[in-house]
Amino acid sequence: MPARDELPDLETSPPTFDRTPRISRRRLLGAGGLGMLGLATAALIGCGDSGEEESATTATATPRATAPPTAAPQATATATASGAPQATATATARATAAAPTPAGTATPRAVAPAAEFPDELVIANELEPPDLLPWLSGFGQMLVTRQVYETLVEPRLSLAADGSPQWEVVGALAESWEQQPDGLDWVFHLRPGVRFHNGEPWTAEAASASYALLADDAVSTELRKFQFLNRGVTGMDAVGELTVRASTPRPNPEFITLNLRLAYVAMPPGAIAGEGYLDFAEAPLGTGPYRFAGWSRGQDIQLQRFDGYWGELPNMPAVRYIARPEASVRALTVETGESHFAFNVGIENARSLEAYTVGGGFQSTSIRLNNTKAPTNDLRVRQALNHAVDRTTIIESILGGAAVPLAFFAFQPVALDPFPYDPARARALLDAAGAAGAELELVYGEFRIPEEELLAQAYKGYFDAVGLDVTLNRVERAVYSEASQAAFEDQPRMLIETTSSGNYFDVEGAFADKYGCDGSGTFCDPEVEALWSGLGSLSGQDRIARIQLAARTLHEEHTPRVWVGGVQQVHGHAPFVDTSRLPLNVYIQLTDLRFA
Amino acid sequence: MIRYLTGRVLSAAGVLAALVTLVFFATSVIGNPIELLADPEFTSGEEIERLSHQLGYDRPLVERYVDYVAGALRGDFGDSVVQPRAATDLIRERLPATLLLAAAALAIVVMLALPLAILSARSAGWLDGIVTTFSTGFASLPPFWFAIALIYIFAVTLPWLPSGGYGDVRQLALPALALAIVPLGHTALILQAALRNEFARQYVVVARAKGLREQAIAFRHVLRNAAIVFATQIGLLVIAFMNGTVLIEAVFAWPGLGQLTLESVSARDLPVVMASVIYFGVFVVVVNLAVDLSYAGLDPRVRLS
Repeated sequence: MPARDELPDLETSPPTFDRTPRISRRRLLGAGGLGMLGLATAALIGCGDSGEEESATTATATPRATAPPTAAPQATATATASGAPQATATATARATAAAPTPAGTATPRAVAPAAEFPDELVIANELEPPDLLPWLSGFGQMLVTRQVYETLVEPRLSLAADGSPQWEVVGALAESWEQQPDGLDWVFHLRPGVRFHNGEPWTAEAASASYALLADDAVSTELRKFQFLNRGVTGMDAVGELTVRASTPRPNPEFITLNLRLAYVAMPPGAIAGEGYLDFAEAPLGTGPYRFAGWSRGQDIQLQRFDGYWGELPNMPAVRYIARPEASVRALTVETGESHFAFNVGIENARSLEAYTVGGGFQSTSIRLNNTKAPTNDLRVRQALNHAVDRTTIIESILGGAAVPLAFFAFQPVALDPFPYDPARARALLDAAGAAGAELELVYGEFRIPEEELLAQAYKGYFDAVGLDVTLNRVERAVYSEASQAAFEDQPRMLIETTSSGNYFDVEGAFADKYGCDGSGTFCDPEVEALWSGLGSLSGQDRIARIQLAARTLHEEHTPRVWVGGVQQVHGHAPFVDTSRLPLNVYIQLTDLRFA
Repeated sequence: MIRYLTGRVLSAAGVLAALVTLVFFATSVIGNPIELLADPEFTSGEEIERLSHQLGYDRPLVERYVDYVAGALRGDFGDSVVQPRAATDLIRERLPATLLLAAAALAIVVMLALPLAILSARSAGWLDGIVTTFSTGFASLPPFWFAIALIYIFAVTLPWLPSGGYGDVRQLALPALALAIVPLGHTALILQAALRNEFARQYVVVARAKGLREQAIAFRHVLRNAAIVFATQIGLLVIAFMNGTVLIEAVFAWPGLGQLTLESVSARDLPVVMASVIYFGVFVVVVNLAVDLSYAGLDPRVRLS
């Protein structure tokens, strides 16, 4: 097992991409299909031509992986290399780091695409969204809505040269913000000169009206949307023409990235008045770089560049979304030219494309170990399970290289080495614990990433190889939810969990979710809980030190999980779609893409 | 005749009643749709309770069942738990696309299977062998594989057709072919056997002895006598198409009822899943009823008995 600094990180050495010509499943499929069709139609398709084309394709296919950016493009935002927001921040506009926009004047600057580029960027999305309302939704829906709606601040995530996570908060519709002395209130100074797509001005009143709508229980229930904003933000009041005061129920700097970023967007107050917001389901209005242009249900959604945008104008004049639910077909649309960017196609499909990007949608996959039941209540058994798993091989073979080995949940300022793969050590630990030959059930579903079935089979192989007798139990979602949220003593001894929590800047929330004594995790230790509780009110180096202490204590003294890998989405795209500015964020913003 | 018709209609009604009951209770076993929908990372217990109450999932099961049946009789299958719309509205929005796809696939099968079967049944040599081989091959194709292969061939290798979508006839071609191919193989084989049996019957020998042309024998006598098999096969085809749309619509992004069902399953939108299953069931029952009733028209013995 290589040391951590020897492991490939996505920054300096992108996942290994196999450039060796080989027969992929799709080529095999195509060849078989061609053969079948050739026989069936007796001469419709010339087999000779097909063969030549096949050879040519194989010879020229040189997959190009676009690595995540080496540094966040915003130089002067609230940057903490640790994932901790500063209590006081001054941000520049997104994508205007080189030439900050003077206060009060929006100076859009479009980069004209070269003539050979298409008139529109066509994106193959996973699904057609059921609506375009701004409430928190899935990644696929946010791929559309978050180009139209904008929020106050945007956290951006990248990996530094040493592989450590680089969180940065940049201003979007807020130029700057500061935490008030009481720790509960935050004042946001809004960006001047911004207008909504319908011409209404962006003001403190608009910010407050947007909050009131999004945090309204009755409205969210009526729209079948779960309420998220008012869990972290209890109010947003206008205190000046371009100043709002947001209130939080407890001191928590994470709220600006977790609650505001995910659950808050700006909407024009005139348009949402009465029940006007209902129209947003079909025709949204916001301040974003693209304005809604049309939606042919079942066919496509069209956006057009908003020339009155306050920030740098994207060089793609229009965007059109088509839906292709099947990932392999989604990837094929890039080859056929039907799309230029295929969202979340998976590494296997991406490998046959000319260009693809690994990044975003980060999820941490692990095995939860119940420390209240024998034999997993024995630290030696939990350590043995960690030593039994070869993370590097799993990442290369099952996760296609589009992942990084983990010893803790992803993107926190924690440099811990995963347990090295050492089957002999695992056997010795099991023998010492008297657990050799123990029967263990591994509960799992296949809900978050498509590889969970393969992961389960691999884990069984590894655990059986060190002398355990593991039974796999694949369960339905309801059974899984019930098992994972049961009281500690009722939870399975081993349960595969893939989670995105912890990747939104909400470190304390993620700790509570996994290790809270009143939470749904499988581990509880009051002394450890004392280490991480209150993290939300800390900032700077104090916060980093506390996160590191809690993580190291958990990892070395308790080992409550087998952390395996941080899995990322893989997007296929045309070579002329430049993704080099794309951060590792949860959702994609088209201002980070461009024709080049 | 009236007794026959009444019996068939009552039988269909009984099947539908059983279907609604089965779907309701089978889905209820899965749990509260709101709890299934909620992501624990982002949802509080209060939110789940609030939405459950609004949509009536906190009421006793029997009370909900009675309401559901009463609603179903009016064509109301409740509201989606994902969007503020009635499940029936969502289905009616998607149904035309599925019917169009099924009709196109049916046309392909009928236009190809019948001539192939006649050709094969009338010849005993190499032609029969070829038709039988390809029919068996088509019937054995895995639909998903074939659908992807079609895209690879016709959209990637030979860029003649789009890989999916909805809106013009070019986008209909590949999904219709993918949906039709397996039933085409089955239908050709079944019709081939039925026609071969008919051609071997004594009345065909008599007709030939009377000097009737082969074309007249085939169309006036043999096909009419094989019509019951054909009608039965049409009914089975419709069922096959309804099942097949779930997969094929997903592959080709065809915005029909099958894709809605798949999306609803993914989104855990149980009311829409229930309504989709019932709609599929109703469609199958109605087609089967129509086939049963067509027997009376096609075969005088059914009418007389």
